[in-house]
Amino acid sequence: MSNEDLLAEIKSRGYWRVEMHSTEYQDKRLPTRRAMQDLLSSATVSLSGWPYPYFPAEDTAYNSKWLEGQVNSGYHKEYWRLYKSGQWVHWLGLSGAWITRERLFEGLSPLPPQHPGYLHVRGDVLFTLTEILRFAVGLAQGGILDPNAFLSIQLHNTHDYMLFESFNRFFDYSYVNQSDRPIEQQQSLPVGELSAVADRMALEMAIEVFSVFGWVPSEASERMLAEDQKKLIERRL
Amino acid sequence: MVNGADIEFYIQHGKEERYLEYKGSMVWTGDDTKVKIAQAMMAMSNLRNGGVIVVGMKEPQRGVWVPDIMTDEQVASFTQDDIAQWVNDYAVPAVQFTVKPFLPGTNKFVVIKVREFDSVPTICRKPKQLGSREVLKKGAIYYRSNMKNESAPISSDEDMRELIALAINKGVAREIERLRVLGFIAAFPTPQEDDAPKYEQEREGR
Repeated sequence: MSNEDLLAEIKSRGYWRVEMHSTEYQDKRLPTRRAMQDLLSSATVSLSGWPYPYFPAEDTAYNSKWLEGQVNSGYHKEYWRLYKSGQWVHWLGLSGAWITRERLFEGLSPLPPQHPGYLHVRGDVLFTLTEILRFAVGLAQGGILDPNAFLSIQLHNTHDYMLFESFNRFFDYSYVNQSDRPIEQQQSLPVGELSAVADRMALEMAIEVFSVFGWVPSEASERMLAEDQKKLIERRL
Repeated sequence: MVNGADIEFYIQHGKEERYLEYKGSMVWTGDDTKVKIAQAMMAMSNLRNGGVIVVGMKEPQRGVWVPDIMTDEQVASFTQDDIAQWVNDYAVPAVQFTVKPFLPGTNKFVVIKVREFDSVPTICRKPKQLGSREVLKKGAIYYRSNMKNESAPISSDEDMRELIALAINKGVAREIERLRVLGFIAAFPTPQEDDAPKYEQEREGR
């Protein structure tokens, strides 16, 4: 499948769009393909399951303006570009938009209500955001976001999607996104501060997403989420 | 602020976590109680986001906690002033916390919510003997380890690294804020800077 076709497919259902770059444009922060690949190799985050981003160096394409990569494997769909300026743009499909309800909730009876897509509280939101923000730290450490990083993280096409948790945790089926607007969060901050605040920022962004779905985590739930995030980071999951 | 729903969650959770410690029914005036609570509070204060201690639980089988019977006298014995006076005689800097009774029905509980330290980790500043045992150690940093949910002096390099990282992050954030107030570094940039159109042109291949 061509990159254009895959991108259109990703955008046809729920997906994340991530954009990161320095606030100061320089056209050749990453002058060569080698520099781009080296940066991605060092910045890629692998905490559990698929790495963020999926980066098989041998399976990327370069056209002298940007390096691009894609994966289209079952329910996992993503496409990304890294420009010479250091600008990062990534479209990441939500797996819960592509798996059938019966498959996603196999073994559960009765099944949750039918929705066009489903978002797992931790896997699809908190852990994904944690990996995205940690990837931003990796880009910052590679020097391409100096002096200030601009981060934009958007969640698109999740109208009527349902938030869910693992079966062994009590979680209501009533948290559904009633809005058809993208959930967009953006921030600019000095790169030196990014590593200190990335995990906290990911947790706050996740809570913002949950809030749009109608779930406002209590203090106790926030503690649970923070602890789960910590376990992810320490690879104790 | 811990609300009723949060406390109910902490009670119903029934399993100790790093940020959650259960204690059996007890009266504050006992030395053994004071030591256990002080250890837990110092340990919680050294954790990111602090923690919560629920008094009034019992452990009928290992690792499973359920509500215990706590008397009115036991509940009333836990007061903010008495706990602060005793615990902060040992803890330096002083542990910040709130203590509240929770009386949802027939069961009664005392909930102590401990705040994460402000600038430097909490250290036990003097020893405490109970009989021949030294139950609080001078210079010890009490902590709740990743490996085991108990409040004890730090003994692993991993826990020590984690605590140091937390303290450094706080210090760096404070220093940056100070420099920002003094005008030595710029205020936070606005979310979208002037170069945004250039990035957009780049994405559109212009």
